[in-house]
Amino acid sequence: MKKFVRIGLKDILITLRDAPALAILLGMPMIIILILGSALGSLGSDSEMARIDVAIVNLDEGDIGKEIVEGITEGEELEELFDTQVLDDAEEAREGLERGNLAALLVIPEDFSDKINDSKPVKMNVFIDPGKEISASIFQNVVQSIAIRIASASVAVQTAKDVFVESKMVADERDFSRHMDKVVKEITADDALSAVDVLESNIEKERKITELDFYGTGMTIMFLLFGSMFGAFSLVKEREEKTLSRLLITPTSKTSIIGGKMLGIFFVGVVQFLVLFLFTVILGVHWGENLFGVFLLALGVLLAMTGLSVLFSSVAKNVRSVGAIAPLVVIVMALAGGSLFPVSTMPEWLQPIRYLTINGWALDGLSSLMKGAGTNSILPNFGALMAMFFAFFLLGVWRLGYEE
Amino acid sequence: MKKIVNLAWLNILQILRNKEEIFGILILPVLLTFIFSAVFGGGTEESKVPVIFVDEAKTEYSRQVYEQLKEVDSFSVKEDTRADAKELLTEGKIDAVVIAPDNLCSDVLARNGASMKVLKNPGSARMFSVVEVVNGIAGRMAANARTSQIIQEVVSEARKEFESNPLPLAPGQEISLPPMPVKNFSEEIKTELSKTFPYLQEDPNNEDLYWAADEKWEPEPPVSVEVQEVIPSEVRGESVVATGYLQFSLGFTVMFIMFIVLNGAGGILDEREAGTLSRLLTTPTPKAQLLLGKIVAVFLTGALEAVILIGFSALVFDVPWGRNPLSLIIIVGAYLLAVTGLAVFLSAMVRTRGQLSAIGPVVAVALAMIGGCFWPTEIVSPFMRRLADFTPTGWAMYGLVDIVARNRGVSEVAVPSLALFGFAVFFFCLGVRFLKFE
Repeated sequence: MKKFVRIGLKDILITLRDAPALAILLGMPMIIILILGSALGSLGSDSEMARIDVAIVNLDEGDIGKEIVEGITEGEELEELFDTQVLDDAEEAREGLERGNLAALLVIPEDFSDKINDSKPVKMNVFIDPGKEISASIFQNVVQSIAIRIASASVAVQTAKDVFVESKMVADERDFSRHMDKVVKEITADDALSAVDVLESNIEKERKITELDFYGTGMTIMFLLFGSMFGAFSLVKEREEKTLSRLLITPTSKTSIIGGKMLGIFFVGVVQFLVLFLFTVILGVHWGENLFGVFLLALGVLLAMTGLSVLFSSVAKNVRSVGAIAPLVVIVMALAGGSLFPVSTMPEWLQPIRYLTINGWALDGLSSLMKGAGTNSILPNFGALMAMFFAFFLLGVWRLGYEE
Repeated sequence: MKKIVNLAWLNILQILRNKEEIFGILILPVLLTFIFSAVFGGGTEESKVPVIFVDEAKTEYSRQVYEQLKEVDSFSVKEDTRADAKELLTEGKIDAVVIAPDNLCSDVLARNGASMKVLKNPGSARMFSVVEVVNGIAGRMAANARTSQIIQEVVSEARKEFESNPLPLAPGQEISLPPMPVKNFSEEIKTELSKTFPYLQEDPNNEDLYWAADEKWEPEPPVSVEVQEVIPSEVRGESVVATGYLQFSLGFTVMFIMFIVLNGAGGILDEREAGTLSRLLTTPTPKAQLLLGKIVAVFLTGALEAVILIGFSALVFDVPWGRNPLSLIIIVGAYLLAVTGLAVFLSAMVRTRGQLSAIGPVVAVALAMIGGCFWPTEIVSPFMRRLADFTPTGWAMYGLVDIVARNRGVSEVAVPSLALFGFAVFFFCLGVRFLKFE
């Protein structure tokens, strides 16, 4: 028992003194999460975002086209959002879009005002750069809402005209235009279309998981798994350098050696988790209210990771093999388990493969904790992680060679 | 030259002899391509946004909302109860629930703060399109309600005018009007009057006006917006490139090429650790040739990866890769050079093969993030966008987006390719400068 602890402690010391290993286990994830923080953390505040380059080509000779252009270029809010150029040549503007200089281009057609005044349907054209779909869709939404306003005015005018004419309410032209003016004035008032609100809400009780939360937790789990590689390195290296054989000659049982190694790997993982956890919390990643649940899942991940390192040591012949196989396994698990992109982007039939990975079970549990779930609901996740630990560990110990 | 080829071949053989590396180089990419293509590939049929409509109002108005939702091609709309819909949403089976609450009809007509509710699955990016469509429907309803109200106001005002000054007769009309108000008219006169002023009999009905206004939106709204994605010499409709997925499929390919090149680049470290490098150096082989041989091998391994990743996904799964293979080859080639250079540089920076294996994936993930492989750089702050210009991944993404999304040709990818060559030269020089042979 004492030996097993001492082997563990010695391994922890070796890792803590190994600068490159520390850099990878702690430094790199911190840098990556910091990048995430500055890349995604600023998503909420619009001021941080650069203005979107858009252009308008107004071919309309009437007033309505002119009003649209003024509305987009002179509105204060829109001015903050868009860097709008007003161009004359549609072809030239198209070329700018094709070169990627613009995110979107609005073309108001020639007979726009005329057609609206004649109550004929008319289309505005928005051309978007498929390489800048997000920025383009913001502009597209703005144009869409302008279109609805104009359409509403047109609908009101057409309907009023019908009613007035049919009912012969108006005696002469002067009377008619007096009534119509009033209709136009009312329907184009600012609050005219506020009658029907659309209330958006996310699923009740659930907190929105931000991109920062997603990547912060996803990356933490992924980097915890890299610990298994260093664990395997240390075991395989002792085997390669024959220090393991020497150790076996001394009255130390295999159980003590493996146990000690695993203790070391596990403990380094605990330190790594605590540092990354604090770091992500400082950056604003929301792990949920249930800290006990988070730590329970972390414990499961670290155990599974420790088991995985034994499995790596048994499969790989030498350090080079560990280096080839471990990062790939970790990355594939990260990919399939939802550390790199949300599992919901996968087609439904493929989504269950996340349950073959450590990341999948861990992130599944973490995301329900973020949404406010209790400890009970993540017990299956913890159980699955424990099962993985035992499976990896037993398989690893069974196949493990102690000498080359 | 022959020595370089021999050395390269030897190095490739070394890689191929190691079964773990074969797994990494051949099997894994095929597996990944399979996952990627399933996730990001063409399959547009399945990608209809599942939406559930909850009709609690059960009126003409709410039916109309349902009809309009169904008209949207990219939605598959079903009806359900609120409770069931919420459950499906919580389970992540649907993206959004649209609710027409029971007082929708009366509130719309009275302009009494009517509201439709959209419950969203926050994890789904597609819910935005649902909100957009519902906003459009709400705009139409609001316009109809307001139109109806305005017309009523105008009519009632006109009546007041008529009542206080009952002479706005059509020219030539001669009816002697009895005193106001209208309700005191005899039936006879009312009938006579109604031929000229039918509105006097009763106010136009609110609901009738609403539907009269609503008719004006069909068959197409008076003003609408047509959105087209533009690529050179051609305009295509919205659905050709699956939104958002393009970013992922390009980004992950860029990341994986780097990942695998960095991983495969330990050759010189292996030989140094095994002591065979010193032996090689005693033979009449210049260091430059030796290094070049190793580099060529790394480059070729990376090229093989790229061919597998891109070719497999393009041929088997129809993932779009643009229509100009030459420009694709140029940009991917330049990127491979840059990444190979980075691999040489990293080999010079670390002491052992193990360290390289450890640092490789991490560097790849970090550069992928900054370069915009995980999310488009258009959404990040200007500072982060500038930072992307200092990564090979960033330039590879610029080039690939140009080729795949914008369908650009060879001349237009010159800038990103040159930038990538610049990275290659920079990293090679640094790498060679610091690489220790013994």
